[in-house]
Amino acid sequence: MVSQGLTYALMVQGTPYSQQASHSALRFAEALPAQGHRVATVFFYHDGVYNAASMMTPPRDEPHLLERWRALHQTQQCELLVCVASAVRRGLLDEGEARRHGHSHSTLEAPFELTGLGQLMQAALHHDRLITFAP
Amino acid sequence: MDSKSILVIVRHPPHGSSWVREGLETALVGAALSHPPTILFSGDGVLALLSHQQRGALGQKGSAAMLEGLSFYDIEPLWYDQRSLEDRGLDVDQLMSGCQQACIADMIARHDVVMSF
Amino acid sequence: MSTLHLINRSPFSTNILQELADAVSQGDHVLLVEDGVYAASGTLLHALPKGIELWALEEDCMSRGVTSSDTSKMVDMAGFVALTATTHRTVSWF
Repeated sequence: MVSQGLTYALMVQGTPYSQQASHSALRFAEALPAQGHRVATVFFYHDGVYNAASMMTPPRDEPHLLERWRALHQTQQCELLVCVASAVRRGLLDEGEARRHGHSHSTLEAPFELTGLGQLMQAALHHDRLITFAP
Repeated sequence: MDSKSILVIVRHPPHGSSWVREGLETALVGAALSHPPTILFSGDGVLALLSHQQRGALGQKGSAAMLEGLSFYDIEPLWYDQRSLEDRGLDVDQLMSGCQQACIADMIARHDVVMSF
Repeated sequence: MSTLHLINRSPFSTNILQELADAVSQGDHVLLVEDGVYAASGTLLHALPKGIELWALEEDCMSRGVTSSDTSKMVDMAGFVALTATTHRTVSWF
């Protein structure tokens, strides 16, 4: 079976630290290149949007999930897309959204990007696989 | 690639969580991009199809109104899993209009991408 | 054109395996991950029809002290990746 060089979209719906979903998604994504695949898009939806909280500050002896996502973005050049409707509701705003809503601080930064659900659909249509990591 | 078919499976009940709304919003966005997905209600998801629902405790738009609007976007019928309905002591007469019985295994096998909510 | 089904919930607190029994097709694969690996021991997996390949993610089994199973085979993270590549689609049950 031909399975070389596939592109993956991951949908992460679990919130960090209280559920295993983020950890599982990262472990899975980090294992892709060894088989010639890569993650092209990570889409954070539902409580998964908390993975993008820029002030995430875990204890030193615990994995820093935000840094792991950033590292994944660097090594596999994947997009880190955050559902804007889910994020803004929950207080995750980039500079533009913060300004628009009259907040003095932003809580979400690049390489994470606020996007609409259309980007999830595009990723599902264009990449070879979609894997959902749920709470 | 763009001819991929998408199946949205809703397996959670409405009102108590946002899963149903998020599944429906995903389906609507697919339709807006000219890729109306198939939508299937299984497990507790069939409870979203009950008629006579009202706005929920989350103070958000009830999912029932969204469901009734799906046909305008070429997302029809509302497929449901018969076994899930029976297990919950329900009958198709108790569901909103536009629902149709599905075989879940065939449904999965006929689509390229499956999104679960 | 087979399907990989991902189970991440304990089968003792959800009805997922019964629902899954109707949702699988011959040649499908079921992979137990996270709390789903608790299904690896016991008899609940017998509810699934024959002709389905059953797997459990090794690292989630090890962290939970789930050591062996009569019904499912262990697979590591590379094996998880391989299963997603060789099947046509993945369905997450939660």
